[in-house]
Amino acid sequence: MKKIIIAVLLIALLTGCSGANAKLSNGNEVIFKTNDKTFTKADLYEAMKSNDYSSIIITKLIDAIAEIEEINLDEVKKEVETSYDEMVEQGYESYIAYYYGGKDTYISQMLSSAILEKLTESYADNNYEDLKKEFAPFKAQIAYFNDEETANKVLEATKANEKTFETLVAENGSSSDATEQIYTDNSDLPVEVKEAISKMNEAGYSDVIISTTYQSSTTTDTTAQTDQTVETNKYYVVNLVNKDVDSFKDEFVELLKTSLLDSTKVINFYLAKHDFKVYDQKTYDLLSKNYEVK
Amino acid sequence: MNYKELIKKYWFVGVVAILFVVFLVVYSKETIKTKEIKVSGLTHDGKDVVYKIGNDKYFYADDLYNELYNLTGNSAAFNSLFQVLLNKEIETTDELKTQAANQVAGILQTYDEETIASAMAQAGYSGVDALQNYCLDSLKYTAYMKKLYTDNYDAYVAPVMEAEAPRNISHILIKVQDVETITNDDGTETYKYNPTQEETDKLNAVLEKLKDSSVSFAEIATEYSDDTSASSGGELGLSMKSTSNFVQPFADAAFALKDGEISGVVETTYGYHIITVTIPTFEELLENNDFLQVLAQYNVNVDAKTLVAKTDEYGIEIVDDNLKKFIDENLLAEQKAEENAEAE
Repeated sequence: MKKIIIAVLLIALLTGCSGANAKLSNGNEVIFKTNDKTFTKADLYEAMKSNDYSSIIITKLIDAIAEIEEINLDEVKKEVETSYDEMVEQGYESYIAYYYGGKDTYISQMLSSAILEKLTESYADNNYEDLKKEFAPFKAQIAYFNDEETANKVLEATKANEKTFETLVAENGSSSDATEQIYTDNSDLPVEVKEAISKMNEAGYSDVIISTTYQSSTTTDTTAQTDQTVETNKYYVVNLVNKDVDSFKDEFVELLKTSLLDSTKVINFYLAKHDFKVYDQKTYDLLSKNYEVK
Repeated sequence: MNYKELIKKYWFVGVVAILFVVFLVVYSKETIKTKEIKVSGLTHDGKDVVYKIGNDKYFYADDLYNELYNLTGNSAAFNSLFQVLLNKEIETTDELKTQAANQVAGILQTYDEETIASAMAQAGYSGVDALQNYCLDSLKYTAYMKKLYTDNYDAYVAPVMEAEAPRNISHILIKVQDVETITNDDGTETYKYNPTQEETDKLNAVLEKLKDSSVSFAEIATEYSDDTSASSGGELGLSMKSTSNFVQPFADAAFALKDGEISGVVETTYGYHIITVTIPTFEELLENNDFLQVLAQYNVNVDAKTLVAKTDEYGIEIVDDNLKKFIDENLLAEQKAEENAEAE
């Protein structure tokens, strides 16, 4: 008897190598049958699972998380319905009918996005300190020029209060946006500019910062192929306005909610918070491509 | 104790050792190959769980089935039925298997595994390993459609031949640089040509050559045509009315020609054209994918309708009411309406 039990356990160990496959309760129900073959619900289930159904799972998860987090789903639905009414007033009813198949489908699809927005807001509000460290935001005006002389001229004129920094930037042929805005560690700025800002402890103007980029190109004539590397310098001037994030906390949190936080990060947070676990191998494989799954 | 007695006494140890080694090999291969984590299963309330979140939120396999079924259930079930019917209708011959294997080799050389797996999934097949089955099923489908069209030429093909006038078109183009397009009051366009002497001479030379029966149209096109098709004897390939994008005067002339006929001088905004056509046989057209696609556009769902009508013949019983309803409403509605009308 002992030997049989051990043998069965070993065989089970072998089959366990392939990962769990969550089965239907009524998988044996027949869809159609031939003389030698039966196609069941279990077969249909496997056929449908051969496609990528991760979006279905994520939608259901968002609903579940919203319930756990006690988000007022009725209120969210009302907001979505209001936005639908506004779209209709603006003449988009036929557009919605064509692209979404009608009001009900539109609301169903928009609801998931709306709930995720609420979760993002909640996440930003409740994780401010961690996000502050992660993004290291600061307020600044940043402009660049094509030559060092112009950059220095603008810098000197700004310091002498001749005109505002924005006006001088515009007047001296720069195409950069010198309005005051919040930048973060993730902002698209050259490494040299980020390094210079990290060393600035007080508000004020930087020295001119030189950023060099290299672009490779290949030219071909009738006889040979020539590789060229073109070096381009840009000359940056930074007006650091404020590094004290707490003094512009509301603006930073608003930016987090509207653009800085991506949905995957937010969903991952709530999956970890609520001990999300998967018990089906195919589902695990699909979700783990983009999400942190246990 | 001799070795036979040793084996008799300790046989079970040997079995355990072998199974353990097999386990190590399989597990290592799986892990190395996929670098994936293998999840364990969970049952709750007697049902298999897909995921759990929070203290008490379970999503069961039954729930996932319902969600997937709402989106694709009927079409997925029908596709499986269709495949069974197709396999009954078209035998899996060694020739088809070899053709499929050759297709697989070609695909594997051209595309990476991820791209192939994604395309397989969209077609309802799971993973790269199903590629042979996918290619075989595609070849069987093509074989079925060719047989269907051949056996039902009058019903499914003749109207398309009439409407589309498929033909292989060749032409010789003499470009005229100075062409003025005049839009008439009725919206039509006419052209005012100001050809150079060289352009006129070239056209006349072509017209003279065409009178010489020892010289083929293709040879004249290669020598004189200003179009890029000159290198292939002026051939533009198979054209059909709905899919060609020729300018109107060219299309009007080309689709009016009989088999082997050569047009007069056709004037378009590009210059002067001389056009000829050859009308392919139906057997030749069946080997052309563009033609098969046009046939399919004219005969919507004829593949599904004709196969599903054979369920009784092949002893297939559809048990699921949803699938029956799907077939009745989408494929058999017209046929049933006709039968009802005849009965009345």
